[in-house]
Amino acid sequence: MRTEAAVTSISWVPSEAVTGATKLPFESGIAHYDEPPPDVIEDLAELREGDRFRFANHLQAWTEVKDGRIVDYGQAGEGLIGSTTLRLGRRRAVFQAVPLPDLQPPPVVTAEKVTFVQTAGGRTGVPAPRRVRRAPFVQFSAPLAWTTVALEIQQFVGDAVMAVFGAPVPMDDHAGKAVEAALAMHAAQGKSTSDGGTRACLSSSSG
Amino acid sequence: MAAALLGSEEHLEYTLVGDTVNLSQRLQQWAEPGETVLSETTYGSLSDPPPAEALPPALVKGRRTPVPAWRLSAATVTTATSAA
Repeated sequence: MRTEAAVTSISWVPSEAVTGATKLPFESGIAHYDEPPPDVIEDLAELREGDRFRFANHLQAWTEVKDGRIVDYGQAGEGLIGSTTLRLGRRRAVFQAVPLPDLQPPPVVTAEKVTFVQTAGGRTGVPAPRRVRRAPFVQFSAPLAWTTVALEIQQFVGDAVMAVFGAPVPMDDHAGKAVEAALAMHAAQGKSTSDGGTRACLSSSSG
Repeated sequence: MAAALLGSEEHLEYTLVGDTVNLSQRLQQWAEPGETVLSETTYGSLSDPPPAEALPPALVKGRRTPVPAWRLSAATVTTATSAA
C-alpha cells in the first residue's frame, strides 16, 4: 500500500506582528501586510503568484508498504520564497528574494515509520531596519528567514487486523464487547491450530 | 482518534489513526501468543472485568509517562474457549 502525505509551512506578515518603527512603511502604504492564508491550501503556486505569503516550505513524502514492511519511500517538495512589493504613489517595485538551498537530509527509516525533514528559506528582497545594541543602533539588512518541517509516515498496523467498537456509532459496553471479541478470536484460533503454532497477540485500548 | 481516507488516488484506504490506535499497537507488543493486553482505560470500562494480571507500568513510544496495562490470564482464555 502506498501512503502519501504532505506538510506545508507558510510565513506571512499579519498587521499584529509589526510594531515600533518598522510599522511606518506598512502604515504609509510602501510595504504591505498579508492577508491570512486560507484554511486549506488548494494551490500553493497561485498563492505565490498573488503575493499572499513571504515564503513557504512544502514537503511531500510517500512510503510503500508490502506485507507489513516498508519496502520503499521517497520525498519531494521545495522552499518557495516570494517577492517583496513596495509601492510609492503609483509606482510599484518588486524585489526578488534570494533563496537558500533546500536541505533534505536522508530520511530516518525504522521498521514502523519513515521520518522526512526539510529546511528551506532565504533572504528577503528588501533590506529592513532592525535594532542592534551598538551605534548606530539600527542596521539595514535583508532578513534571513527559514523553517524546518518534519513529516512522519507511520506504519503501525501492518498485517494486523484492526477492529473498532463504539465508533462511529456509540455502543453500550463497547469495551466489554471488544474484549469478548478478542477472547473469541483466541478461542477460534486455538481450535484451528491444533499443533500450537502461530497464534495471535491481541490488545485493546479506549479513547 | 480520527477516521480518514489514506493513500493515493490509485488506492485509498479507510482507516483510523490517533493515539488510541498507536497505544493499542504498543500494547500488542506486550502480548505473547494467545494473550490479550488491555489498556487501563479499557479494563476500567469493563462492567464485569475478567481475572487479569496487572502489568508494571512501562514506557512506550510516544508517551512520556509509564503506561499501566492488564494482561488477561491464560485461564480467562481457556474459560472463554470452553464457553464458546
